[in-house]
Amino acid sequence: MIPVTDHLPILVVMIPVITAYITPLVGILLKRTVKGIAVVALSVNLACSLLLAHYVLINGPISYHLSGVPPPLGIEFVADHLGAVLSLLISAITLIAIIYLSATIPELGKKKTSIFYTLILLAVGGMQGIVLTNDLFNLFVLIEILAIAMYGLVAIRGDGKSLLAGYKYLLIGSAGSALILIGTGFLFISTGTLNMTLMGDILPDIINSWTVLGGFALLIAGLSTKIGLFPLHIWMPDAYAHAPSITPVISTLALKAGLVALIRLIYVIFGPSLSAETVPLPSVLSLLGAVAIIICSIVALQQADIRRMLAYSTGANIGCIVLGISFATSAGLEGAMLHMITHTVSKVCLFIAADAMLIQAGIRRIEDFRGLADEMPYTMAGFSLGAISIIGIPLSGGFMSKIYVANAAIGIGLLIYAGVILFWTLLTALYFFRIFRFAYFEPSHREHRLHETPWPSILIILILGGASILLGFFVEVPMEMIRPAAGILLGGGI
Amino acid sequence: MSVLDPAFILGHYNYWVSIILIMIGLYTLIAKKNLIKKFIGLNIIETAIFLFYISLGDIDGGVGPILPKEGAVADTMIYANPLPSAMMLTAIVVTLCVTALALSFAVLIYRRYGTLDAGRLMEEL
Repeated sequence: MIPVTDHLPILVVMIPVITAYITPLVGILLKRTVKGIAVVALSVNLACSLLLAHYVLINGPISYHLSGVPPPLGIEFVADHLGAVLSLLISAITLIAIIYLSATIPELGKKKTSIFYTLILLAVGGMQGIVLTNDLFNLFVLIEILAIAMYGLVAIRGDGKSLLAGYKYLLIGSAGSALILIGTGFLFISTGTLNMTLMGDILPDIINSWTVLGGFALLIAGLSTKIGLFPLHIWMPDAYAHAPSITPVISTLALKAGLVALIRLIYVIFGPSLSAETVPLPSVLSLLGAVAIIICSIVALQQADIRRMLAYSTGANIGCIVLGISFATSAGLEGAMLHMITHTVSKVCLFIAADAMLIQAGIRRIEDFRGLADEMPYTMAGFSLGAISIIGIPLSGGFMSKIYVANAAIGIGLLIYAGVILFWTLLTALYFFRIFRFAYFEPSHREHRLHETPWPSILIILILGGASILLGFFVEVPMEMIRPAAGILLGGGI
Repeated sequence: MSVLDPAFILGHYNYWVSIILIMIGLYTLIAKKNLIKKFIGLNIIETAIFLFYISLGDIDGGVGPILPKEGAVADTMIYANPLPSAMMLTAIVVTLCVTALALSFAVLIYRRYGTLDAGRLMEEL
């Protein structure tokens, strides 16, 4: 075997992090090369993720010991099917986002360009680490790396509103990190180890201890701030509305990384056996998920700002994923993971299309969509494709993943949650059809005609929009990775 | 040992102190209007967590886990667990970074708006 394949799990994490340290230095000397370096680094990263996913698909999960020290003492990275598929998703989407960013007009001043790329690369490194690590304290550190990069990305524009949104995010996020830290301490002192798999082996004997249950509750609460689970989603709308274009895209991925941490916490550390007996996990988390779906969708209906509307829609989708995770069945877990993928692709398409419209035409409010299909047909077409998938119109990617989650709910006899998903689809259709009506059926009120977005952006938007629809037709491609992932997790990790 | 046993309560005073500190910090974070005071509350919480972790690792009469000099009686020595302290070194660095970031945000916000009052600033958002 080639030595490189042995070290893929760490390469995937370290390539963006090391590049992040190089870019500010290079940025001082050669400003123009920063974009190139970032694109090259993320391309290499994508290649590594692809190799990793291929390797995991053929040979099964990899356990990687940092510095060669085995688990009880050393830190372990585990590239199982879930980690590999999310790592691939993260590197692919960030590469697309970076290419889009470098193809469009720089929205920030030249002074900030290298810092901007540094933060994105740091965030990518943090996310890749979160999806691959198997060590609880390591997870905390990586979550903090991601969070600090995200606070910076939200506030980087430096005007008053983005700073306020960043500060709000920072306060909520740091409180969440503090909870994660205490919870880690509780579990560490109960089990004497930080390795998630080893914890999972020890915990069944002491599961009734208040320390363990308290640690579990603290970790769930802390992670909820990171994944924006209702009611801790309140940082999202402000952060998305006032941050520069690419931040919501990176944040959509960061939420998914947090969800992977949540899945690992529930299934690898605690094991699904916990749910039925000691902690009423399904009833608590499913209820939170269902409430998130309904309330976030209703609030999204009332938004006038397109990015705020998309932020609340993300809150509802996170609710759906948490719903799928909380069922503790393989069908629910598969649905949740599939929804993570379809939601990421479609929502990133919507954010990039919304950003292209903002940069090209200054469109921010939903009323501004009047007559847009006539003036910017391709951008609007891409936006519509993404929206169709988010709504869950049959045969699109979003439809398939929603059906999986709804089926899982029916499978364990909780028909009410299938009803919630149906009602949510109607609400989502309501707020997107409002946009479609303005764009396709109402004349423009603008005095002068808008110009179409430059072609590189259109190409990226259409690729993402097409992918979000095609995922529905080729649902077996991600499922090939997801099925073994669910099997491994329900078996309590590797 | 019962939870209400005085010996238990007094014997674990460092845990009680860290819980009280966390509560003070949480109160400061929620009740204070000033953005910097809110963050001070968060710092109090973090410090209380450091105290909690270091209490976890310590043991009565424990010494640092360093090999004794030759000739010393190694069997009678009790070692403190070094791992929580090592973890806290990392956590202190992380907290320091977040604090620096928060304070620089606060400075910029004060320059833009001339106030740090959370109630008034959130109306601007």
